Amino acid sequence: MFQHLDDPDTPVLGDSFRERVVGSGRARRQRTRAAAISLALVPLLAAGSSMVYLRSQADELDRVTVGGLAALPPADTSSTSEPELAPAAPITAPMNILVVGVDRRPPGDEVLGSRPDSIGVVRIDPTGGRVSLLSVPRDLWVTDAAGRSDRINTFLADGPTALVDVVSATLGVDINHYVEVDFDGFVRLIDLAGGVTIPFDAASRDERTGFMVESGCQTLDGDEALAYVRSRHLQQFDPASGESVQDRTSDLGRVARQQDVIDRLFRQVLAADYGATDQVRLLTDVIDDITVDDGLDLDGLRSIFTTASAIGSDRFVTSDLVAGLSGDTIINGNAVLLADPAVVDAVVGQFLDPTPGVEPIESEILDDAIVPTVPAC
Amino acid sequence: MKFEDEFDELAALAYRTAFRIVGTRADAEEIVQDTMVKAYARWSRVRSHARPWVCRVAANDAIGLVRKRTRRDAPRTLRLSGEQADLHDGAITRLDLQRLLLDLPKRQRDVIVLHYLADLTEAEVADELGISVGTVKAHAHRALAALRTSALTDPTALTDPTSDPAPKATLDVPAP
Repeated sequence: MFQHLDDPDTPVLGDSFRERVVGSGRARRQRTRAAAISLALVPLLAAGSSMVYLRSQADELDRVTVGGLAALPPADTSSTSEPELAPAAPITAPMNILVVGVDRRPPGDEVLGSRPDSIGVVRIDPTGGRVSLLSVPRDLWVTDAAGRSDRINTFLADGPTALVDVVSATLGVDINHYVEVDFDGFVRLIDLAGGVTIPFDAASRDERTGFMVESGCQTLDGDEALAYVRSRHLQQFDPASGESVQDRTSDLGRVARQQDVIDRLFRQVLAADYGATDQVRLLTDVIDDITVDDGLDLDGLRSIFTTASAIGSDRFVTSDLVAGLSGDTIINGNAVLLADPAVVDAVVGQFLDPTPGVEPIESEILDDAIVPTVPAC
Repeated sequence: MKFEDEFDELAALAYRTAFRIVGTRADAEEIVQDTMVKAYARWSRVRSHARPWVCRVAANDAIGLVRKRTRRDAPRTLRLSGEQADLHDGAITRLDLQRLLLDLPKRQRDVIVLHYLADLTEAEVADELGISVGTVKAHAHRALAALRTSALTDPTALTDPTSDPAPKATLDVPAP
């Protein structure tokens, strides 16, 4: 019936192909044993900067040595006796996690190292009952303790320690842990969550990332969501003029959209009633795509996730440094962003210990950014 | 049944099913690899009906890929319409098949996938889907009628196949 559609030169899927399949199939089987940690992973990844690259072999997390991290008091382990089945011990002190989404180059293209595409600090505050995300623009011009000045996203090329140091120094915030997610992890997370639904004000596209949607509520799959959050040249159709108008805020608009997506995804995931199987799939599949500092183990991740889950989506706040930025500076031929230290202090102060009733510091710069204005679908 | 012993046959089956839908080797190979990894990871539950299982998983992956591409490439497809003369008959039929698979009700689609794309027997299909052989024939017939209609007439005729009240009499026509 459909023989004419067959591959006239069907390839031989030989032994090496089978070995590859058996190898990844075995890894996947073993990962399902790590399922217990999964429930809690959802809110963290959702709350985290949009992507993290964590890689694990089987159920062993991949971990890197990261310097410059601030120590925390140990978790309250008094209630846990059986590590396999007991609920994870909640964390007892506020914890700041540097979360970076990286554009990991294929193997062999390591010359430039990994470039973070997004950088954020996630704060889990069990005493205040808050989960907060402070987004840091990747083009922010910063100076580390040794006096080296550069855009913040270049520091990861020297390893996570360099990035942790410069983030701590710039924000004046202790970083306790480090988590890295790559694009594959982000795509997989969105797909496993069933997509993320965004209310677009108008038809939008980015010819460079291939992103394109109609107006109205659209559910993006992982690839589409990645194209959307990476878009620096988003265009929106203006029905009045019949033309597409490009977002002139470039990277700032992109960061604003990333925050919007993270915010919506976080609330959506927490609101969804996932069956146990879906939760296991979500977590075991995603855990393969993250890397953490070597002070974090599976129990530590479980503790973080359990605490974040318990705090819940309505206590999740996002903030950024946009109000303090000036964006018309060119250094060494690169457009960079300079931050007003007073605004950084104020934003970080609210991030660490919010004063109730204080409105977030809004920026007029973002008035021109293309971000959905509808709260929910 | 050991996975390793079944591997070659299952992989070939998955490849044929996927290729008939996507039509490109790289996509088909990736789908086969994904399918076989899933089969291996769940082998204890899969092995009793491994052949239809890998066909369905491969076909679902392939249809998902087509759906994603169709949505994303919509404007480009319009631009390409001038080049249609370059497409040979096989390609046109694959496009019709893709559109059919995207639009068919789920049960009809399963039958088309298992019977015509994976070349499983009607009895195997009935067993996998838990329906009678007669129902398999009826679904297959209806789906093929839709495919012929779409290939010969207005391509938009398939947008709502469920609203097409398949005349009962046509069910008596022997399936090809």
